[in-house]
Amino acid sequence: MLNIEHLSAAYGKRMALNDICIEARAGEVVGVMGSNGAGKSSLLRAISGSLAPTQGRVLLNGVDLSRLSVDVRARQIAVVPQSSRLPGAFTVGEVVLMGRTPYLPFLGAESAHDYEIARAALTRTATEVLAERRIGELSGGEQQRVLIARALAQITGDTGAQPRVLLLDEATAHLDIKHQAAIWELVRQLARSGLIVIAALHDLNLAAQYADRLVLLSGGRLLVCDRPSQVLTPDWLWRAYDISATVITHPLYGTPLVTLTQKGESKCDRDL
Amino acid sequence: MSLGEIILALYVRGKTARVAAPPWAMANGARPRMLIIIVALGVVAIALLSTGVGSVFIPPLTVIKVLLSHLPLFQVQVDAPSTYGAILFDIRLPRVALVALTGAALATSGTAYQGLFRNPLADPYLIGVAAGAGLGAIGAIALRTTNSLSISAFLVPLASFIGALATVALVYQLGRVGGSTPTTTLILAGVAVGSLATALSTFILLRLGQQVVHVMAFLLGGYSAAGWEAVVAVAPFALIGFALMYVYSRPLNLLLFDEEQARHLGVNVGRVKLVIIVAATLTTAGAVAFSGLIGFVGLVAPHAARLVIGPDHRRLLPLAALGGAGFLMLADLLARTVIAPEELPLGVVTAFVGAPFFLYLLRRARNAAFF
Repeated sequence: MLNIEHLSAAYGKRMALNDICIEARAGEVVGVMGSNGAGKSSLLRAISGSLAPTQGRVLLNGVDLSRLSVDVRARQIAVVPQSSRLPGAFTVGEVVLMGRTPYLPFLGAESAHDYEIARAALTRTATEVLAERRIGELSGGEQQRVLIARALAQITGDTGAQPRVLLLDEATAHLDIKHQAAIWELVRQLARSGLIVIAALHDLNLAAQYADRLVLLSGGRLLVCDRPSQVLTPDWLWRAYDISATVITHPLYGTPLVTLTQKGESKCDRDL
Repeated sequence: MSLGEIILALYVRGKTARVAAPPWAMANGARPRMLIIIVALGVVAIALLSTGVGSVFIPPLTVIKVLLSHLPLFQVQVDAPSTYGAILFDIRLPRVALVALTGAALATSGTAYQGLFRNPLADPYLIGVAAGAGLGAIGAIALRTTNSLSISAFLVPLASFIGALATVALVYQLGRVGGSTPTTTLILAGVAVGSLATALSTFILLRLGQQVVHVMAFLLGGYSAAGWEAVVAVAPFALIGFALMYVYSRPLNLLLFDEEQARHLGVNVGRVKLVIIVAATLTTAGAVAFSGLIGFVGLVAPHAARLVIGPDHRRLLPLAALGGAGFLMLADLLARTVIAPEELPLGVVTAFVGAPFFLYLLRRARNAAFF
């Protein structure tokens, strides 16, 4: 269980997060949404420890994360970054093994156990066939799968351990729709197997389909945190994104489906 | 228990304690350990050849025999002139050892700077460290009141380390933007501070008078005065620095991603950066203190090693060290022989090989991943 309690954070004097309270349970995918600069990345960075809170705290299974050392925290929380500049000459196998870094003793080498876990992570993300390839040669979708595999290897602990956290920061932003869907299917499966997944994402319809709950941020404040059908309403979208949207129900899944309303008839114009 | 049994036990223990990496985990450079051993043998061969060549040529086999005959445990009969011992031990060997140490030091610090700054063109010269070390060394040479070599032998590397460290600190502070250190600003700051250090060095040089000869020889990278004192003075800098870099080679791998990812993977980024910078600066200072400014070794050796063995610093650093040592010994051999009995400055030879390679890297950088 991840509890974010009255969390505030700032970059210098600029407030990035303001009194955020969220709970996330193992098994669910929590989507974090909001316009650019609303605080999505800041929230993830505050959870991962890259951004120190000015107020409030983040508890994972009852432990205040700011009290943990870098490597102990790294065993609990893994981050899948937006497709980043990767050192392309490393092989996929090497990159996934790097996920075991927080478990290795100083100067120690990987044990058979570490290789086993890395291999399992490769299998789980269907990247086993890529293991000997260099990551620089892979497509964007494959690279994201490898980063997820690395994250999995990182937060795979002993059996029966407390639930761990997987953070995704717009992890599929640069992928085409097929690869986006494949990654989100995988992420949902991982969550169901007992992880706490928190994912910042832009695509409203992907969020509707794959997230169990959505957090809507605006100007560093929490607007609402609820099921997608409660959050993806014209009213909330207007307040979060300053857009006027038409929301219909997905004919197959019953999830909300968001489309933009044409400019001429937008609420914005009417208000003016 | 006999010696054989102990060796067997150690062998078995070594075999079981170390887990063999599965093939998928080490596709980069199929047999790194073998490769490093082969290169190491090559470096030894170069060292023997290099020790033998000079005004009197001594064949490698004789070199080995003479060297062995001076070791306490070996009873080797040598049918060579007795002067060979003095030539090898007092003149040739210290020079070759110093050249090898310098090459290894420049290559490893170049490797570390490239990894740390995620920039394939970073080397001790580009970020101004070498110029700062040079300024420190020249300052020490200029200020010394005594001509006693044994005092200056330790003073010069120390001054050069202080100069290098001050440069790194200044470059690092100037290159900082907000909370991070972007490569572009870092290198721009390095070039600027390096130019400043070079200008100051030149100024000191012009004010020197008689000492100028020593300093000029130093600037061009000469080893004519190299003796065992120089080797003993440089070795601690190079070896401590290299050990520190090797200890932190795994976190250095993670820093190749970016600092935030490294932190997420459990790396204490601030500490690792500090240790690597200090270590690379130590080795650079040690190298520059006695060999002057020798460019391109820190660029050529790491990249050649990277092409052969891949980006993993745990294998890359040792190979780059060997490559740097071998490369500089060969360059020194050329420098001594091409216009014998005159000597070419070592920096001229390395630039002659290094500059074209540098241009090749620049061309390649447009379409290839270096790390």
